Amino acid sequence: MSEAIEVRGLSYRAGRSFELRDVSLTVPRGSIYGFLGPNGAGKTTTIRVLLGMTRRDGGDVRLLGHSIPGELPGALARIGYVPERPHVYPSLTVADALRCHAAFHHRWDGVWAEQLRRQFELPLDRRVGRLSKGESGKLLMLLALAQRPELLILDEPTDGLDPMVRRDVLTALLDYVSETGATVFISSHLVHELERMCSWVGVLDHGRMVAELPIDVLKSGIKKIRLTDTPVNGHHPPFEVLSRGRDAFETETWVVRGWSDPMVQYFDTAGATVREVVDLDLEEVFVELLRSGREVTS
Amino acid sequence: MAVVGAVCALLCAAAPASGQARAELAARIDSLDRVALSQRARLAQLDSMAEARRRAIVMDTTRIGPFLLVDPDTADNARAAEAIAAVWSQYSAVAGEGAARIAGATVTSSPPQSFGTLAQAYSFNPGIWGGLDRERAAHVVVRSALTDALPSDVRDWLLGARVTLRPDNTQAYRELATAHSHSARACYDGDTAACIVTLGLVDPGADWERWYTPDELRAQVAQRVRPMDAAYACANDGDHEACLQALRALHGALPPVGGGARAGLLAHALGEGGPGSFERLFAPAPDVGSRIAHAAGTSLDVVIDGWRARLDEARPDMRAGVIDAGVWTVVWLAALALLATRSTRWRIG
Amino acid sequence: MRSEMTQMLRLQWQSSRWLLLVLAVICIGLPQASVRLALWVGGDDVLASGRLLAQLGSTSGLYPFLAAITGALVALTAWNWDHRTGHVYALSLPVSRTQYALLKLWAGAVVMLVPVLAIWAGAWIATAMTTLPSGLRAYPFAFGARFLLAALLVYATVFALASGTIRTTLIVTGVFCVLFIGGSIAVPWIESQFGVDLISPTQVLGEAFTSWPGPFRVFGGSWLLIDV
Repeated sequence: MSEAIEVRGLSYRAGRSFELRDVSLTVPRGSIYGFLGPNGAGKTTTIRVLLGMTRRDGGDVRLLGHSIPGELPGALARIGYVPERPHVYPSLTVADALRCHAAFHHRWDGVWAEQLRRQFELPLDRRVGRLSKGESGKLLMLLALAQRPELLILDEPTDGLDPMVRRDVLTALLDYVSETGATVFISSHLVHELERMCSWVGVLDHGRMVAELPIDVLKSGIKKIRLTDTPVNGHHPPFEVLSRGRDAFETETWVVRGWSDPMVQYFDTAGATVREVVDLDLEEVFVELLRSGREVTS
Repeated sequence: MAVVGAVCALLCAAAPASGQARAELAARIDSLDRVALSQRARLAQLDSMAEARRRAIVMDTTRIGPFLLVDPDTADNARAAEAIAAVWSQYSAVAGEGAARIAGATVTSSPPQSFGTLAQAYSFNPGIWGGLDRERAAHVVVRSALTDALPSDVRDWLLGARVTLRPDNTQAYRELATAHSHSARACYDGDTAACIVTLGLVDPGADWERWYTPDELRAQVAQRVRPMDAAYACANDGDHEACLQALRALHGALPPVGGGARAGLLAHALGEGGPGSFERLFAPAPDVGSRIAHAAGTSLDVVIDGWRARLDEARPDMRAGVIDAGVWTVVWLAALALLATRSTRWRIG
Repeated sequence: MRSEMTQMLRLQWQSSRWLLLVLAVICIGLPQASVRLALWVGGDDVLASGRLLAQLGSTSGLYPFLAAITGALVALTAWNWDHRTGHVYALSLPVSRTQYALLKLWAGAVVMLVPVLAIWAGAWIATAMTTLPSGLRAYPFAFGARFLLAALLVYATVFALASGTIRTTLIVTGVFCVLFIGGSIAVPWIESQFGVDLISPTQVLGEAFTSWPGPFRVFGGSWLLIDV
């Protein structure tokens, strides 16, 4: 069975300053893939290109085995999409919006949609344009889930939502995923939120993929190491040094990637003393990856 | 002379010198005076035109068919020459030898004051919009010249309309269909003799009693004539004689159909007559109808029947126009729908 | 497909219902007003027919204008919501793009039947309850049919323009403006200054569009509700 999302060598250019260059990513079926990147990295643009809303300049895209854009309608029938900004016509009521979505999505589950609506406490007669930010976020998630998709593409679905709403939305999402095994491709810059639910992570910065790997491998492989008596030049370390900084009292802090415990021996051989090996959370990993990526580029 | 003769005839008649008769006599003299005055004015105008032609000959001119284009070397006049030549080619076959009657008619597109006291005969005035109006301006010149050259009785019979080869038969049909006249209704229904009466072909003067019933006549006068004693008596008291008197006091008659329809009949006759038909209008004939029949080369009844058939063809048909439009609308809708689906926004996928 | 068609119709109705109501009122009222005015001006005497036709002729130019306005406004409302939301919702639907555009075109054409039926009704009411002068007849159905065709053509034209990107619409509109301004002002000026004969784009385009088989020929012809 093909992967949920397969992208090879995607390229896109808008104007002079922004481009996606050679973006490749693979989202395994059944995974929750966190698509990370700072503001302006190109996450939303990448999603729009994946969904065929924007014409790409090069590369291949397949969604659930469908080639994009040739088999786009077939793919979209199996995909639930939550955009960054509300896309439903603001003059429609909630009831109208549900009816409209149901008409175009033949897998629509009306019973479950009503259940979710009650759960989210969305009034049927309220116009979409008059919903609060939280209500709007819930409506978008409801529309995406009630069509029973196999793949959910979510573009910063909880951005700007208060913690209560965010919890409601993510709970509904995770319940659906656990029940159906659907694949989720979620983009966000709220790293701590994704850390708790994602199984895969892809990091995008300035239109380029910086990293893509299972989250546990990402976190376990990146460590912060405090050293004393550090060697001036580290020859052929068995790991990737992402950053290196000197603290007070002749102590250095290294952030390394690809670490495993036996690698302490390298420092022993170099005459350095390892004081501490610290696990990083995803946000710290994210920041270090971006920093090292930008240093390499510059 | 006509005035003197009429006065003598009237004086010699043993008419009682009653107040009413005096008034009638005064009105008839008055109307005859007006005819004489208009004839003298017309003669003066023709003299002026002839003088203008004589003067134009010593100016720089070029001949376009029978016309003399004054000062041809300006850019405007060059375009005028082209337009007039194109229009004249449409009329020349019909005019035939009759073109000699307008030979030397001067045309210029410059304002009159630039020629000092020269009274130009015809002004070519296309307005500001260029091509389309040059054709129209050329038609005005050619048609005016041909009309001025017509026999006077035919020209008067046209009631101010000009000779044309493209009459508005649709408007003529409308006039005939809606005229409040029993002779016009009979003509509309296909009575050829009624058409001859309606169009004033045999007696081009006032023929009101053959055009209108007394009631219709009273209604015409009530609507068109300014209040005066006879008109008042006609409209309010139903005095038929007063109606006739009031109408005689007018310059023109109240024909059931206007000059446009008459110009259409003339156009049909010239078309049927083919080359030289225009010249045949000038052959001696007792009345306008005979002239027209002679121009057409057939009997007046045949000409009338042909003209009526043309009007029937030109009858405005709302339904036929819509059916044609419907077919092309479907074609264009399909083309525009295709265009809508080809937007770059929609061409992804 | 039926559910998509129904839903698209519902969307079109919701986006344009107030406009349709206003247009329907105008379409019912205008024939009434023009016929009553023509009958009043015409009077009931011997010259009534001619005066009535002349009066109707003077107001008949309002109908093609109304048909054009109807078509244009309905077409703009067809795309209004999508333009405001950046077309994201439409592009995320599982229908082919061609199908989506055709669904919209269809829905707008259907709702346009509201003002068309209104003008039919208005024309019929205006003429059925009056006694026309002799020689004249009323043509409410042919009149309404011409209105429908004219409105449809303008609708489809504006729809096609509005379906494109703003850049495309600006380019097409700009080209037409240049041709019109060039034909109306520049060409006569150049002709008068340099003594040359140029082909006027305004004239060429005007004739191409308004004579068969041009798309707007239906705007010519007779718009008289009452005629011989």
